[in-house]
Amino acid sequence: MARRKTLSWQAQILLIAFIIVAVLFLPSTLLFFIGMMPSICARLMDHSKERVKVLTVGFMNFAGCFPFWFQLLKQGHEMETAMHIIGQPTTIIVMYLAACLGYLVEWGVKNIVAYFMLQRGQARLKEIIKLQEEMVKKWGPEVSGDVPMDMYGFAIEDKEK
Amino acid sequence: MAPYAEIIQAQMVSFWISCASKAGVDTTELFQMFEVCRTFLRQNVIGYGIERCIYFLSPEAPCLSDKFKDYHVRTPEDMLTAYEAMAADGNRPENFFDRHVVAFLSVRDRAVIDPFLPDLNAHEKHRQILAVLKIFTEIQRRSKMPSMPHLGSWIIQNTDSIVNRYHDRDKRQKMREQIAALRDKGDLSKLLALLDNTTSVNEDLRQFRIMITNYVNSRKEYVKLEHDLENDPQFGHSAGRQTAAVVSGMVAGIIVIMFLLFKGGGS
Repeated sequence: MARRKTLSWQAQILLIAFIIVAVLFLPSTLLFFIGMMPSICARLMDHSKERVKVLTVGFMNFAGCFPFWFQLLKQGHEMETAMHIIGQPTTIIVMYLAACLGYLVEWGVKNIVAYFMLQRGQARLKEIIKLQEEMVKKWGPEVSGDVPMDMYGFAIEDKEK
Repeated sequence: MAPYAEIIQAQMVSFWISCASKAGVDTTELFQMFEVCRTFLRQNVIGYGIERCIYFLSPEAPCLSDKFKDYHVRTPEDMLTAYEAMAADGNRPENFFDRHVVAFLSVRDRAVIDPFLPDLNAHEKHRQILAVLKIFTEIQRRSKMPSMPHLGSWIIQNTDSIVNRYHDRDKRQKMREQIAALRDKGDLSKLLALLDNTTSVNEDLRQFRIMITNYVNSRKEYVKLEHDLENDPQFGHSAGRQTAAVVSGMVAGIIVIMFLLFKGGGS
């Protein structure tokens, strides 16, 4: 039977604080809940080890939500205003397009970095070969550890000769 | 000389001495000397044997080694001079020492050779050459003998085994250059100081062991990296995702700041 994950007391306090703040600033909460939906999806669908997709998408998604949240604050931070802003197609398009941009950044940067790392890896392989050749040149074939050696590190066959 | 060895081993002399003692002659010392000779004969290593008996029983005997058949070597100093002359003539035997030379030196001048007998008997060539050099240096230094360029050059010809004790090829090259610079100087002390550097040899061995570890680690890295490159289609994606998060955060931050500056500040 799988053990239930229990939150630490610090996390529990933070969760309670978050819920209180969310209730206190309900218009903002609503706006962000709707606007940040792609980020929530990204978090749920990200099965990678690092789980950083939510950050990539989330940052951009937040940048898309920010102007509307700013507008909400300026217009009195009312529930009605929040509903009005969310109700406009432009709002959703901008918010979700920003999230899409986050996905695009994630895809693009990930592939570019992976390409460079692949190149770097191949260069490193060549570098290791070169390094090993230099070590053999400077320290002799015994440095590879493949040759049976005496206690002073000299090849036993050589010594027998 | 085998018959002489047999005579001593069969205690024929001792028997004769014991007969002589009955005649009232004090032969205790002579008896002891032959007993000592018997112990020399029991040891087969260089420096002992019948050769040692000769120089032990005959304090005035010159060195009877074949190497000195054209010389009359009576003291260690004579020996060094003879070696220098031999080296100058180009008549250089393959080895510096033989059983006679070692036994002669050991009997005539114990302090100069006995500490190095284990080295002279060792299988390692570098230990033998270093021991020879130490013995020659000690004789030259103690007797304040003049420089011996030919002997120095002769020893240098045999220093490859000493230089090759170093694993570092650059160090070997450097040493060969330094040795070459001493070739015609004839100062055996300087040559010894250069060649007999245990600290340097130990440091070289320490570095060599570190290099073995480095080599093995680099091989492990190579195998792992090669495996990852060939078999991991996600290679670099993890770093890519993290970079993407950073880039995204920066872009989002810039967007928010720009909005606040232009839109927020303007209205």
